[in-house]
Parts: sequence; structure tokens; C-alpha cells
Amino acid sequence: MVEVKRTEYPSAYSKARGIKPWLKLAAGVGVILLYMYWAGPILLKFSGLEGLAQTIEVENIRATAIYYTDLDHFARAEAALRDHMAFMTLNALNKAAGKETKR
Amino acid sequence: MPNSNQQPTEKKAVVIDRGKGQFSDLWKKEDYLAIWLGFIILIVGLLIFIPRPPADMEKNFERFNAVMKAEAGRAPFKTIAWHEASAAKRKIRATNEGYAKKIQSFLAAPSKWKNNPIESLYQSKAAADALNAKGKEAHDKARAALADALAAARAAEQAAAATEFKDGGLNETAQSAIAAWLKAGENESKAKAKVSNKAFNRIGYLVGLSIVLAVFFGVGTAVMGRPFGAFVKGFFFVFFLAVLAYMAETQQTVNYYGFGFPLWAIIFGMLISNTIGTPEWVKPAVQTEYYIKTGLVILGAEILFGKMLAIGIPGIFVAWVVTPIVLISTYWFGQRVLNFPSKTLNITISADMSVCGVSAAIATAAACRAKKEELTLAIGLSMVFTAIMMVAMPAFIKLVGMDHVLGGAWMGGTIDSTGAVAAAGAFLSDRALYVAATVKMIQNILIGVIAFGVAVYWVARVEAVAGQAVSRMEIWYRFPKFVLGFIAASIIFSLIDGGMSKDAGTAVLDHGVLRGFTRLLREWFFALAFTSIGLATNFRELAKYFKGGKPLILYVCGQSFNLILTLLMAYIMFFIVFPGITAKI
Repeated sequence: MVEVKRTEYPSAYSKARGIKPWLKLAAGVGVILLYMYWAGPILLKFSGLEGLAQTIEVENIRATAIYYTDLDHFARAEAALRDHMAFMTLNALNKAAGKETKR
Repeated sequence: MPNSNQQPTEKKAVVIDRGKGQFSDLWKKEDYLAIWLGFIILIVGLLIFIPRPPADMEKNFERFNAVMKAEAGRAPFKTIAWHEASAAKRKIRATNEGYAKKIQSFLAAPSKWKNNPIESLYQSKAAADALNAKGKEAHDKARAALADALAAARAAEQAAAATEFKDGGLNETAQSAIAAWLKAGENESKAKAKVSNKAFNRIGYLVGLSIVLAVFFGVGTAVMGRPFGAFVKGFFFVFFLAVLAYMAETQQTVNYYGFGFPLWAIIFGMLISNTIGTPEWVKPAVQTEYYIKTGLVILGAEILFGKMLAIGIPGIFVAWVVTPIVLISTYWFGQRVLNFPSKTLNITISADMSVCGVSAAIATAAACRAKKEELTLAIGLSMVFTAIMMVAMPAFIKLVGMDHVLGGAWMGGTIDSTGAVAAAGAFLSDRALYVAATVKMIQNILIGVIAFGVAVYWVARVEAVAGQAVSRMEIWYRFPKFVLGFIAASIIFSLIDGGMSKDAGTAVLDHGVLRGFTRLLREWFFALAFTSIGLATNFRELAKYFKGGKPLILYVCGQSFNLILTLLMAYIMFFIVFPGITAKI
């Protein structure tokens, strides 16, 4: 009873011929290189990203990570909080409970 | 991404999915095959790491935990011995074992580079020595500073201990001295990393990895009844572009902007397909769904529910209450107010904006079978706004003098990309980083629930004929089965994790099976998937999805709502409901 109709669009499997497609490819690669070597670094200076970039470099952060397991910083934060909860917080709670009992 | 595995069809051709199943689907359909392949990897990972824990692991954990317990009882603050025991515990990881390092070398992506891309694949001994020599002076200074800071911290702690930690002033002095020692330790560690460069050559490993993955996916392709040889032939080209995407990501400037390999894989793929055209012999290996679903099943294992419970109640409220509200509201806004032309694009953008960027977009798009162009658009939007928000948010927090715990929670709940959250948090302070990372981690874990919910909602409601009831069997037939593998992997690994002590689970499962093996493969699978998306995406068609700027409007409106609601919830949780926890962070 359930029929889902999906329109398929033409894909990019073009059959290009001649020199023009190769020139387009070269231009695309050129734009990427221009961004990496020239526009990107210049924009860093004017976008306010320079300070952040320095932090990323010094802290060795992979700013492109897509999941928490991709970065050690998350593991460090987790371990620090877990130890804190397991020992420091628990100890403080126990002490507070002890005081209550004495009263 | 429906039928992206099929060869291109003529314009306006229609594909019809019918709700029926056959026994052979178990090996002929990608949904099932992704589960089998994903679980093969997960089982191999378990077999490698679980029987080989670090030597005397449990004994050492007991020893260090005893020190921490005793120190917590002795002093009202974390003493030097407490921190030393905590640091020693963190070093106990299966990934530090010799066999694990070999596995990581084999599966590793290209390294960081600045000017010469070859640096990401090859580093000579002379180059490594030159880098080490350059950093030697700074390391020597950092080491001396660390020794001085430790001596000062010891003296301050002893003075406080002499009064049995009853003198508040001496306690504060000791805490400050210990904090300075920890900071000096971090600096020394960073300086040490700069003198620990080693020669490497990744080219051989990458060739080996490409062969292993070609055979792995090739066998799966053959099982599905497609030619093995044709797949393998095209696979090497797709893998080569995936390596280039990784190399683009690891370029220094690109990393600063947070533009990751998914974006570059799509760009490189599209650059080929929209200029010279994707070669005929590559097409059999352009299998977006095959790679992405296998990667998602593996990702499921990284969703460990025990972690969420262990790391903070306020964060759970911020991530788990706000995120679903924002997701549903944004989707509703898109459908009812913006009259969004595509429900799948709407939910993909809503999920990547409200949950955690690329990973949420992948899981949601696959769960609702969004088109590849829709996933591309959602990821592009997310990466652009991530780059803006990771600069703007810490700047704003500094400008208004917002508390860093509140700021960290706000950033963790709103900046899409996980890596960008770490960068923005670290830019503010360690406190901000810890809170931001915790909130983001809890949000990361939410993607399992979101993907499952979206898959069920789609088959039961969105794809149903209006006014007609959908039977349970129909729902089962149409349900994207790989989502079950994704959820099963999460449950099984959460149970394994829960069955071990927290420390052992972290050392062997998290920092062994997951971070030392399956995570690395998962990233490669996603890189292959995004390269495939690029190789099959027509630029003109992609532009059509952006017509009228509705995706941009949806993202901006949804994110604005997310910013307001997250800030409000973070304030309530961290400053009104749980101020005690906030004060101790």
C-alpha cells in the first residue's frame, strides 16, 4: 500500500570532451590552492580568527573533528570530571552527611 | 540518498520502493550488508584489544584510585599527589601499547602540513631532527619552569598541610601554586611534543590500506551480486580522492577554519564530475550508501550511554532537553512557515544545526533517505556557520564578561562541529573547554536516538499515504535496517562498557577498540562516502536545492532559537538548579 515515488535528477556523470573541461578542472584546483596559500591566511588576520588559530596550534586541536572520539581533549575533560565526581564531590558529600549526623 | 548506488538514470525517471522483503535481502541489500560488515570490524576490534589490556591495568587503577581517595579525604582541594595519580591513570590506555601503535600507523590519515603537501605523507629523519632541534631550547626552558613550579607547589602544599588544611589563606595559596604547576606541566607537554618528531612514510601504509579496504568492500559487493573486479578497479580512484580530502583538511590554514574532510571530499569529487566527468571505470565504486551505512554502524559503537551518566547532570539537561525541542521546532518552522519543498532536506538541516553538525547530518540523512545533494547542502551550511560561530561566540562571551562555565555550556550546545567546540572552548579557558566538551559529548550521544526516531517517523508517518494506516509489517519492510545495526552496536558496546569498571572501560574499550581501531576506519568510510557523493553530484542540481535561500533562512532561524534556548537552559541548570556543581568545576 505504501509506494514512495522519488524523482531522480540527472547525476554528474557527464561525458566531457576536449580541452575546456580540463581547463575548468585546473581553474578549480587553482581556486583551492589560492585559498590555502593566499586568501585563507590573509582572511585569518582580518576575521578575528588569528587568536583562535594560535590556540588551535598550541593546543594541537583538530578543529575539523566530527565526533567526540576524534579528539583527545574530550577524553581529558571526561576523565577530569569523572575523577572529580568520584573522589572530590563524593568526599565533600560524605563530610557534609557526617556533620549532619553529629548535629 | 536513495539509490545512489544505482547507475545514473534519465532525467525525471521515477524510482519506486515497495514494502516487501525477501530472505536474500540479508546479503543482497546494502542495509543488511552494512550491518554485517560493520559488526565484522567491531568484533575484530574487540578480539584484538580486549584480551590485550595494558600490563597490571587493574592493579594500577586500584593503586592510583586509592591515592586519590586518600588525598580527597586529607585535603579540601586536589593535592599534587592527587593530580599525579590522575595523570598516571590517564596514561593507562590500550592505544599506548606497541601492537596498537602499529595498527594506528596502518590506519592513520595523512599528517598535518603547512606549505608542502608531501609533508603530510613523508618526513625524513633529517627533517624530523631539524624540527626537534628547533624546539629543543623551548623544551629545556619549559622543563626547568616545570621543576620550579613543582617545587613551589610542594612548599605551598606542605605549609597548608602543617595547619591540617585549616588555614583558608594557605589553602588558597597552595591551590594557586598547584594550578601554576599544572599549567607549567601542560606547557612542558606541548614543548615536548615539538621535540618528539619522528621520521615517517605513510605512502606504503596508504597503499596497503587501500588494498585491504578494496578487498573488504569488494567482497561485500560480490556478495550483493555485483562484479568484484569492476568495483576494485574504481575503488582505488575513490580512495585516492579521499586521501586528497584528508590532505586538504590537515593543511594548517584549513584546520584553523574547521573545514573538514567531508567538505573537501565533496569538493574534489564535484570538481572531477562537473568538469572532466567521472570516468566510466570509477562508477562501480561510487557507492555512497554502502560506505556511509557501514561507517554509521561502526559509529554506533562510539555512542556509549554510560559516559553521559558519568559526566554531569546539568549538561544532560542542556543537551537532552534543548536539542530535541530545537530540532522539532526547526523542522516544524520549515514545514509550516517556510513551506519547505523537501521534508528530508528540512530534517537534515534541522538535525545538523541542533545536534552536532556533520555526524548528525550523516545519521539523519541516512535514516530518512535524504538525497545526496541535500546532505551536501546541509554539511556546507553547517561548516560555514561553524567557522563563523567558533570565532564569534568566544569573542562575545569575552566581551560581555560571561562566566566561562555558562559560556562553555552555551558553545557546547550550539556550535555544530565537535572539533570547533573544543577550539572555541580552549580559546576561552580550561573551564570553558571542559564544560563545552562535556555538553557536546552528551549531545553527540543523542544522535543514536535522533536517527532511530527519524527513521521510525519517516516510515510510519512521512512516507505513508495520507489517511491510510500503516501496518507493523509495512513499517518493518520500509525501515532502514542499518539503523538497527547502528542502535545494536551502541547497546552492545554500552553493555560491554558498563560491565567493566569505568577506568578499565575507558582504557580498553574507549582508548582501545574505539579510538585505536574502529574510529579510524569509520573516518575512512565517511571519506569514501563523501567522495562518492561529490563524484555523483551535479552542481546545477545542487543549486536548485538552494533556490529562494530557504535552507539558509531555516538554518539562521533555527540556530537563533537554539542560541537563546541553550543560553537560558544553561543559566537555569548551572546557576539556579546546580550552583554547587558549577562552583566546583
